[in-house]
Amino acid sequence: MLERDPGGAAQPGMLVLARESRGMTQAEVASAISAKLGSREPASQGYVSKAEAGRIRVTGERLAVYAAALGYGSDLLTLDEAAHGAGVGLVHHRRRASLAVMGLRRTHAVLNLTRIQLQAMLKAAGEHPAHRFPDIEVNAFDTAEDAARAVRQAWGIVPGPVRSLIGALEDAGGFVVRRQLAGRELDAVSQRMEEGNPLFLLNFGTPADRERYTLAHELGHVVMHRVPSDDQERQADQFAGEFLLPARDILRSLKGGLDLGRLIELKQAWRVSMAAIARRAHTLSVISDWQYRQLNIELSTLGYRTAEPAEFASEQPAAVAALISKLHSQQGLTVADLARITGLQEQEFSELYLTDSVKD
Amino acid sequence: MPSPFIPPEPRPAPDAAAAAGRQARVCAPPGQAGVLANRVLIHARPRGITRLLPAIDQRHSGIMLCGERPEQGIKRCRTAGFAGILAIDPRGYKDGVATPDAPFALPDHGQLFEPSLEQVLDDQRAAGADVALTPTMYLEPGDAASLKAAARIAADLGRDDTIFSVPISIAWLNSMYVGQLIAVLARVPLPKGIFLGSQLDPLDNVEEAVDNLRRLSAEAGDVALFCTDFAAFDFAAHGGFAASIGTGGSLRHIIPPDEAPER
Repeated sequence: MLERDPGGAAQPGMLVLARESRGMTQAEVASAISAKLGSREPASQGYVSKAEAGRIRVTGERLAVYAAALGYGSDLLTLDEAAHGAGVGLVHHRRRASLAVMGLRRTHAVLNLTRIQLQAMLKAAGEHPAHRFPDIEVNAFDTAEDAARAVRQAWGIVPGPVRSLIGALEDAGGFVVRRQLAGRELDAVSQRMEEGNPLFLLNFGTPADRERYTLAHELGHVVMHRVPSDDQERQADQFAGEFLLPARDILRSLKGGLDLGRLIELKQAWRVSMAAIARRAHTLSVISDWQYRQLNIELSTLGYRTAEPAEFASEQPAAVAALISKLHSQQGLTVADLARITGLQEQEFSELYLTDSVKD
Repeated sequence: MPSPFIPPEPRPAPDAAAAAGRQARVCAPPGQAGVLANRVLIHARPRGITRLLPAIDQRHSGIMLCGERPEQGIKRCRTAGFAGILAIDPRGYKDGVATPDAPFALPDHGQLFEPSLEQVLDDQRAAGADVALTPTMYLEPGDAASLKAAARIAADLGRDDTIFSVPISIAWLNSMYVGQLIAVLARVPLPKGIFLGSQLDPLDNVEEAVDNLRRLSAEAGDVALFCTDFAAFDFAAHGGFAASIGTGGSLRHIIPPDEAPER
């Protein structure tokens, strides 16, 4: 089991994390608590504020009501912050500029809670898989593209398209989970867990081609960026470009004229968006600045900026489902047990973690 | 009757100090390779080379010979009394794409042992070239592993009569790759000779290329631009130590070895 407050009191940081993961304000939490308590003892926004600041201890029945108002189990709110890192560590995200701060905070909270849930299940399984995600320093001499080549080589990825990116990440000891994140403005977030295994959180509804590029971008962050830097987004894009479309392998395919028809063919072969392939061709100077502009105009005119043709199915994560299957089949844990371990209510645990295959 | 031509009075001699202030920075690589400093050479094939000789200013120019039997071209130039600078472009970039294992084109004469890079350079000098150029193969866009391999071998040569040829795809001069190109070349103690590769005019294909070429000349240490056009003058004006201009379109840029020239 995870470390908890010995006095059974809610931890201020966990209260904040739980609230933010629900996208609720303090006033909304207070209202939800009041609704649970009925007319007995209405809670104010000030109460929630003090609880989150650690100036009020939340225990016993109040804790149960507080947790119920947030839709979590009481155990989650008593987790030891210091042991589980409830605060946001170095989180990487690929997002559009329009994403509001509140949405980002919610997403970071969901990421942290998912990490805590996953660590709880790994601990219950009594094992933590080794990982093969290196730490690679990049600079002007050794660039992000070099890092991408090094990772491909270390993971034994054969030249050409990456057939299953999620498979490669999971084989290397990473975890990939899909969640409903803040609108469509954010595609993914990632964070290393304590043992170094990374967790990638993907937003539902992202097209498969964009999702693969996003995952490769996040992989770049994970292996290159232990500390933030001004250049990190450009480096992560550079990494993703070389990881999914290695210059040496794709150069020949790009030559000989690049029109929309050829872009669709290449998209199907490399499982990367037409826009990303056109950008790669421009980076590699297979097409000139002018040709690149013309291609982009065509893509925009046809509406392919928002919805590209030749869609393909998204890849499906399997590692977390396998972990849950193992906990069920080898240790006999029920959904109720797993929900308790992860600090979730049963219904939410089922919704988040039980895919059809696991339910069967 | 027309008045006889009276030449104008010569200008007064400039003030020496003022002239020194206006003079461009003189950058000369150390050793024998320094003979190319501040020269814009003619990049030409050996055939018919002697016809060009009267037009070449031996103080500020010279000849970079490429193509079939360049050593014969050197011989003809010397026989014709040309005393200026001569060099051979071994055109490794036409033989194939550089790889980390084989970044240089070394000739296969069917000998028991293939000639080493040192021997190839020695052969150029023995043929009468004032400096030697490495036969570096074509460096594809972003192929840092091959660039680094070539740079490492060049850095270990320890010669002062050699220029490290760097025949690159023009993509190396976009903002994605130029930083790495500079970082790698700056570590090579030899003077470097850039050849720009793409169809048609390389500098027309990438908007950032001109600025990044200037940045390269300023930051990578003793850089020349070979096999180019009037870009040679811009390059020299921005710190490049030497350049060469091709006598025809096909000698004013290089193209990837697996492509036919577009017209």
